[in-house]
Amino acid sequence: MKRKFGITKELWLGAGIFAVLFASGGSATQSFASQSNDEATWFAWAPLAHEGFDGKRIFTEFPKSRPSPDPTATSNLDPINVGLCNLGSKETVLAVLRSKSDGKVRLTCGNAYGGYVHIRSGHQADWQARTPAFRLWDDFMIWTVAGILRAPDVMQLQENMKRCYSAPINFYNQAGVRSVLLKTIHPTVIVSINNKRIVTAYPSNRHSCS
Amino acid sequence: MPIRFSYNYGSWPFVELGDLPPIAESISDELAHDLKAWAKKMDKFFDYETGFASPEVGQRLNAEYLVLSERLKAEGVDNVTDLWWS
Repeated sequence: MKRKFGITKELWLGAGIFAVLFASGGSATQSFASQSNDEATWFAWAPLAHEGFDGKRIFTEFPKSRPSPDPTATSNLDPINVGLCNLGSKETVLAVLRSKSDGKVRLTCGNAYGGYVHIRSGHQADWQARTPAFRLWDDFMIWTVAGILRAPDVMQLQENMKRCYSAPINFYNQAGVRSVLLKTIHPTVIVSINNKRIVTAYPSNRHSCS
Repeated sequence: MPIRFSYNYGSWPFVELGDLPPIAESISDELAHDLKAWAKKMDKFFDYETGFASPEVGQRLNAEYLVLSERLKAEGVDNVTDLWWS
């Protein structure tokens, strides 16, 4: 169901910029795991998606030494769109991601029940806690969700036309030429099959798909 | 530090991230079963767009939720409730 807004997109964009500048709930800049230096020494690797993320860049070659391989892409949610979420827009699309079983699915702002706003209010701290040396919890979140949807090791049909996806995410500490595996987590991503939307996503030691 | 006990659209109503032993290993099998059963009922009767199938179902599941929270405490799992769906 599409919601019609009564003001123009330009007004939304202007208001979004304002919201980004002054709202505090969105992509708050924080470093993780007490890492204060700008250079990431930790990185995450999605073994099934064969893709890594160091907080700034996405790379498809497993790092063998520093510096990291040339990035293939960046993973950033548009702060303007996040600002629109802060202003109460429900239908703004933050990302369109390819999934293994449900085609293209969207992360919209949503509300307290589902979407980006739900993830932020319920699981920002969880993502933050699992994002060493990265700056933005939601950049890491969207990278993780994208990899899991594309290459899951668990896909479970659930009640109310939802599907649960999960895949392992490995965390490494890059020490010189060696990459030391620190931890593996199994985040859970829930997708609405009929609406092609991401309902929620959270990191955890074990997935919640069974 | 208390753990957040909440519905996550999944089969287990906790996000366990730290290095502590899994909650399922520190509670009785009966309570673990009831927690999963409650999550499954939430999955069935709560829709992310429309909420509960009916107010009565919502009240019943919320009452079960609060009882489960107390049972967790009684078995030594300090937890906080979060009725974001209500």
